[in-house]
Amino acid sequence: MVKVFRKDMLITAFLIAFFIFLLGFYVGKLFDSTRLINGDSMILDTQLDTDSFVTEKEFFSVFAVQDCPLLDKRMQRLGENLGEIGRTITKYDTRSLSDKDVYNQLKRKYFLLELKAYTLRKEIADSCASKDSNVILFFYNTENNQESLNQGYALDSLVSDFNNTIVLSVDTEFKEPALNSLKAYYNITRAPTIVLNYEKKVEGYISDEDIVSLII
Amino acid sequence: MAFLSVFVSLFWVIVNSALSQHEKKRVVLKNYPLVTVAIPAWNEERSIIFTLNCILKLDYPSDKLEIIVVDDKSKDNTALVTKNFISKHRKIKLLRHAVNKGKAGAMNTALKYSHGEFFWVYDADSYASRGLLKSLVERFYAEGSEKVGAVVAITLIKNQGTWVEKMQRLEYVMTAFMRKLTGSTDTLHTTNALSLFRTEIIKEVGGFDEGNLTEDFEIAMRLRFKGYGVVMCENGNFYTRVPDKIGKMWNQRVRWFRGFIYNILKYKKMAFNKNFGLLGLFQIPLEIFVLLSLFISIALFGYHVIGALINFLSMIYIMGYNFFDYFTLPTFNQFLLEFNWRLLFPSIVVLCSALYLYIEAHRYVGEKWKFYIPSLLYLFVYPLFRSIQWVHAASLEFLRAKKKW
Repeated sequence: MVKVFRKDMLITAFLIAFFIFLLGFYVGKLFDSTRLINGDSMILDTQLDTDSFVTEKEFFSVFAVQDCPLLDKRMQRLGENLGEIGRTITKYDTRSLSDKDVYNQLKRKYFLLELKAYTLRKEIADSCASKDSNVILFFYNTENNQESLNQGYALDSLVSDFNNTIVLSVDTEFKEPALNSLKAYYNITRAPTIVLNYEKKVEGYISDEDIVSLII
Repeated sequence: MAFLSVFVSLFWVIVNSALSQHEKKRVVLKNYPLVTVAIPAWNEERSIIFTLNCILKLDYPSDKLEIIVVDDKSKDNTALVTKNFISKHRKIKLLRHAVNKGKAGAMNTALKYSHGEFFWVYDADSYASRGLLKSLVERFYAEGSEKVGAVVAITLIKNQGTWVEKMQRLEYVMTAFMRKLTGSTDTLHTTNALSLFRTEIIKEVGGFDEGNLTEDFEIAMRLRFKGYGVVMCENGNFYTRVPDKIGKMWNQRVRWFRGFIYNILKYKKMAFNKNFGLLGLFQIPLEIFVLLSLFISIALFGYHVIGALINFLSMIYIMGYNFFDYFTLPTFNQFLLEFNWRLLFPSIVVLCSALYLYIEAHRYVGEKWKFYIPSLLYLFVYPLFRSIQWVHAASLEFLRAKKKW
């Protein structure tokens, strides 16, 4: 048999393989920057929605107009948008090639927006004395916490059955002073923990049926 | 691991394309040398006559064939059936073991009484194409080197009825092709059921290793270790019978893999040793690395699969019917952005290279290439089983479990 091996075959294979990985890395980077732009744009849109909501609420307050159903509806949509952003950022984060700091900035913006939405929701609930919708604050942990994952599924299931329920998720491990205040306020010591309609705190996993029995 | 897969598959594509630019040389001999055909037989009363007839019909000068059947203390009538047959064919010798010594033992007995320049091991469950022996002998002369210890033939599958057999068909086609590629880079280090050996060299290196689970692999490693070549013969092939049931196939593969682990450790000095050229510096380290990576991958895969399974079952249990709402088809934009692009390029290259080698392998053995369910099972499901077989084999070897043939 003909012996065809030459050293340059190994070198060529290595160089082509290296080039392919470089190309994959470059394309990954391109998509990564698009993900960041997309994530940022989603947050910006929701920020504008929040600002618009605040302006509308101030307008109603100044001109003594009370339109609680409209505010409820807008608040509901805001909550849904935030949920979508949360899911998107989590998916992007697992595909990320960029410096983690860039994603942490996005996450920070997102959590702050959630906190703002939570505060606004409380204001509306107090001023409208509305009992038609529910807000659940969900403190979770991402580090191999199956219990947090299960709680997430139970909350997803709950939202599927009850459209008037907003879930705002907070990563207990994320370093953000405003979130620390929230955790301190509710004395969050473990994950998962949920806070139902600003008051009822439940530590550990709770099924969607049990949540329903607590909020009705 | 992904980089290594891309690198190795590209390397073989380059080797194959370089090889296809060379024309095959064939040496035709005026006088063929004496060849001893050794048939180790254990409980072969049903196949031995067919095997002997196949040998007698070979396209090889009959006066240049010395046929030795070694009955390895069969429990059936192998010896009697053979005795009756050889009463009409005087040139066939029958040697009988008083105790069962295994295949390597039977081959060593035949080797002791052989007079041929070449020694041809002929498994009783295989049969050669008529021109194979000539091709194997010619291959020794074409190489033009006294340092070639063995010539390996292309193995194909005789029985292709069940899906287990069909699945192995593809494996044998790919193996034959990979042997061609390793042969062309001087890294071939295995022999098989119908390999031809130079008698003098086999005697010099001490014969076949009795008690070894894969004596065909061991003798090739020993030949390479002692500085002798192992080359591939591209003309002619032989057919072998493969296990028809998954259980039998499992036991056979575990035995092979145990043999591989044992022998690679036995000849570990060859790894990273420049005296063995590309075999020592590339092929053996690559095989060791792949083996180690396989065990690590299985551990990681098991961990992730178990985790994902627990997660999935929890999801179904918790969400009930709402489980279906959880999954929505992504938009094109979402798909683009959420896709793992880092793995796409290497995966495409590995898949394209595999497809190219798959087609080339079929061209090489002269069979039509086709995709059917057993092929898909072999490509996408069997690797998982093979990984578990490797773990099974490694654990048996580690525990020094009793060897079973």
